[in-house]
Amino acid sequence: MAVLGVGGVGKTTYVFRLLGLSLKPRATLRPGIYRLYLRDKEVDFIDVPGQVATEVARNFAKAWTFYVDLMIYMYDLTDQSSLYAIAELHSALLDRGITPYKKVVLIGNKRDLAEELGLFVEGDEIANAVSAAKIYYMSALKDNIDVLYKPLEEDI
Amino acid sequence: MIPRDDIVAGIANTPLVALLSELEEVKPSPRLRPLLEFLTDIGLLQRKGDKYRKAQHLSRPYEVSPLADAVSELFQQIVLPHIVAGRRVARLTMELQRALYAYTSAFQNMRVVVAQELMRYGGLTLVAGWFPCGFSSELMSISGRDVVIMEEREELVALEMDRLSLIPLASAPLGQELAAASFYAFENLPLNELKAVLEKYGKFDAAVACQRGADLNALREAAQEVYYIKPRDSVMLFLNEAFLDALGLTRPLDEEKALKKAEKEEVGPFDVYVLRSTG
Repeated sequence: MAVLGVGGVGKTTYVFRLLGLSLKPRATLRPGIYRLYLRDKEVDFIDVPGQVATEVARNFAKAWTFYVDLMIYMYDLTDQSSLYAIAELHSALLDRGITPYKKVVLIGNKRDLAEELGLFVEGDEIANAVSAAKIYYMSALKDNIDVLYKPLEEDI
Repeated sequence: MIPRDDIVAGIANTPLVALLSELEEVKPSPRLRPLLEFLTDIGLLQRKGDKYRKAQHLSRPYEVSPLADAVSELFQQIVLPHIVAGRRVARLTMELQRALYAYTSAFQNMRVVVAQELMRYGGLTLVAGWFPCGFSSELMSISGRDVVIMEEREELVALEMDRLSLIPLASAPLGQELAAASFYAFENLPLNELKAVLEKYGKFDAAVACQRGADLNALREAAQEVYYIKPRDSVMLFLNEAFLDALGLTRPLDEEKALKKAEKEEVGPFDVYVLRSTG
């Protein structure tokens, strides 16, 4: 599986929490792979660097070389531009004429912060646009690990 | 930091432990004593004089994790034949390769913490012995490193090569910038052939050795910084040493002297020694 989204939405925080680590991650500079064991499944979790500029995102999409069982698009619930960037990333991938995943879901992260600020960017429209099977709203930083595992348990 | 319960559960689930638990008492030969001492250390046996008997509250796990399964397989197929009969593993079956690969995942959280908390961003990094700790893509993604992985048996790293092939490969070291690809390379060489690696890649910014017998003085010449990692946990130490010997990999020998001038950090149940080049 892979997790994709612009920089700062919490992709690596999410991966670290799944591994049982509560570290505040540094900025991810290169793609990385982490191994998780989910009951009888071996899951390789591909974490990719966040992208800010659309041009860089497009370059990244060109370099995409793998096919995944589950693609997680992640955005920040307090930042509308991070949601729209998902559509950009998605179309950059599709522009190559490929669908490099079996299934796609959308995660709106930083639910705790969104509730605190009273600013909750709903993801339904973009979820439809990218054909995401489900939307999950969570706080990768604060939610219980069972909540974080849901996309993996329900969608792989 | 390490899934010790899974590892102990894996050993508890082997036929050897099942057999021992059916015996009233065992008086081992000197050759087998370290094995029974190890099983005593992890609570599966208890010692009485020079004999061993099953622990009073030995509970066999009902459901075991994939890591525990892997440890069971490795203990039965590699550790036991090596300790009992001095057998070395000539050929690694795919099942053993997969189990050894799963075993390296026990070190994943340590790898993440070392890459994130102790290492600076960027630079060409040599992994002097991939097994048992499995340093690899964390160095690229978390520390932005370009990585050369040196290992003595090619079959050991075959699955890691396969897995890393998912990541777009940069044609040359990238340095420090954010990139959609990584530079990584594998070298199938004995750990004492550092010269060949240096001739190919030039001097390294860092080298990482985790409970492996790389020559630390030579590594210090080859890299600006050397990270030498050693578990303090007795289960890990015992298993790692048994694996290294049985697989014919260079195990650490007399590293204490070279580490005298190193800075020492503790990462969970691991000691991380950092040697910096004086040049």
